[in-house]
Amino acid sequence: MEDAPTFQLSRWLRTALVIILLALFSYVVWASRDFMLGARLFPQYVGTAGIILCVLELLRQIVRRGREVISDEPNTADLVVDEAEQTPAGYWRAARFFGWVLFYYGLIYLFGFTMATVIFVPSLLTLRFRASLLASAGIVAGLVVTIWLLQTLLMLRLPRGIIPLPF
Amino acid sequence: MWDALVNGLFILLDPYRMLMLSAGVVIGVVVGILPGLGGLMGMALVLPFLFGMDSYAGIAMLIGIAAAVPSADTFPSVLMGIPGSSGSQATIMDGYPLARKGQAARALSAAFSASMLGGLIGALALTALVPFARPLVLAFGSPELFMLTILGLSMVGVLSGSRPLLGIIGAVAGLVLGTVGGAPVAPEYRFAFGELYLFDGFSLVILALGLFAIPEVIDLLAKGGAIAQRGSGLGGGWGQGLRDTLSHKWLVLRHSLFGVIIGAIPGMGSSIIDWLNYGYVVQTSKDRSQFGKGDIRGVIAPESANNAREGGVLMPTLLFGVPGSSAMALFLGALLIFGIQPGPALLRDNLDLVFVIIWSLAIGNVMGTLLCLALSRPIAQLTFVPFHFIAPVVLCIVILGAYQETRHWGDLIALLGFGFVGWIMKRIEMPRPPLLIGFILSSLTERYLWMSYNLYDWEWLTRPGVMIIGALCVVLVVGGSVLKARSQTGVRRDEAVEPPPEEK
Repeated sequence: MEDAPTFQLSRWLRTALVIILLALFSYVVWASRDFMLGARLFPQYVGTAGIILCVLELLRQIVRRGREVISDEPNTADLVVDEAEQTPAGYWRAARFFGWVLFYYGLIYLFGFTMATVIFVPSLLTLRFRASLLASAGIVAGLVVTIWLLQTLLMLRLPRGIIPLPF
Repeated sequence: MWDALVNGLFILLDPYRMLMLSAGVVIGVVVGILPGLGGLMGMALVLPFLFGMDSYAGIAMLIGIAAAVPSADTFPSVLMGIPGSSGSQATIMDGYPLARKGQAARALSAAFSASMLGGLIGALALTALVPFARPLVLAFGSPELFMLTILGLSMVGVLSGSRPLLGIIGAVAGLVLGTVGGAPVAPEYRFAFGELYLFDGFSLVILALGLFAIPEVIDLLAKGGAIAQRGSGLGGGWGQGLRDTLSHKWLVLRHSLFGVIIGAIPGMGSSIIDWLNYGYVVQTSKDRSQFGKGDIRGVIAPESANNAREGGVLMPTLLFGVPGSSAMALFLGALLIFGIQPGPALLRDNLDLVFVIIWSLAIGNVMGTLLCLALSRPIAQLTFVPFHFIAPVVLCIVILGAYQETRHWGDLIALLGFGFVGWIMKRIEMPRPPLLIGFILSSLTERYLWMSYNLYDWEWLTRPGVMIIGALCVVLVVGGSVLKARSQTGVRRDEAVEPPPEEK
């Protein structure tokens, strides 16, 4: 049944997302007024429908606040999230991995894709997961070979960094 | 026609041509397994090598790629919950939960066998429909095409499960996202804020990877452990998956034919067919309690339609020279490289070639399925490896795949942005598939609505095809609601009758 700290954050985020979407739909309707007729009609209709739906959802949330039991309404339309991941601690655990992804992006921006991968993978594995250096080195080597093969055989382009490197 | 059918087979059985077909299948499997890459990338890759090649061999190679991708893209969808290509998004919904239950083998086996049967049915349908395809394709004007997009949108309700309002809001958000960039019916850039990257709008591949891949990688890393529970085994389900497909033979047939028909309509991409079929099987099933948790029908239906679609997209491509998909646009280019003019004259003057294509499709499907089955066991073992060893590899390939869309930093920023949105949606139990469906159908809905209105005013609403598809929408929505109410009543009744575990 309901566990306040577990689901409060999810509920709060749900309300926040609906409010953000309401603002987005309102902006779409407002910004479309200057478009030509052919470009204006669709976003205006769709945006208006979105505003109405968001208001209905917010009203539903207000009316049902305090008696909504999330765990009693299983979500069968998407992949199920474990209850442990719905807690503030679960959110924090995941947020830290977003930080790691941002770190990877930063490295790509600086050094380009290959060098960023060479730095990021062992950092994540050894610092975060205490994996052995041998395992980390093996994965990095495999990845570098895969990247090289993809680049050569499939002619893929790699993101380049602002610091010029020969690879 | 029968002579051409047999001639086509003998032409293809030449060892060099079979070798090229096999090479195409291998390339198709590789690009299918890598998330973000698909048939378009595979065909683009081999296109430069076609100059000077024997035309039958070159065409067999291209068809081999087209036939193998829809089977191979099942691997990442089932094993990692990441769409292998735009045509394997719906397979995640039930394939991935099966893998997490340790039934990856069963899901893959069912998916591949359904894919193979779907592909063969697609080839058979193409053979049978060649004489009648012309009136069929021409029967669909812009009003009927608009109604088909509405049919797709009407699936949103059923794909929203117990969160219908949030699901519909998600679909509307997808429709709005689809309006970013150049307007399809007016010379105007919308919501691009002067950014060159946004002039073409967002990419479906990046949206799908962002919504599904990034959240899954983040959550699995946060949770720790492997994707599947150790000890549950691969499920020993290879035979079970095959039996599942055979026991749902009518489902395979129905969705394969559905895939062929929708595929024959230009512009109806593989992602639309995928979701339409998933929504259709959920909607028409009496017991829907296991969909989204690992119902094998949720794997079989989209997979059979996916492969059968290739037979459908070849119809407008060959008969009218109108590419049925972006990959088929490249295929048309290849035909022109070989000096072959697609269109009605192709059927009259070069029927042998048409049957070489059909045979290549059928044999390529079988070869692709066998190759995927051979690779299944080692690849399925990945679900038992601690995910922190797999995550960096997956993340690296997802980023690399996303970057190939426009090779602009905007791809990476969009991937991360959609990834964050997808993660929030997953956490707050706001269904993500409706957003994807809204996005896929956005520009089509707008274009066909505008064309219908301009060509026929509101009289298009009285066209027979429009009314039939409209009635189908109503039947699906109303019928689905009735079935849903019945199944919920049934589940409640079962729960009331069933004693609690400790009393058993």
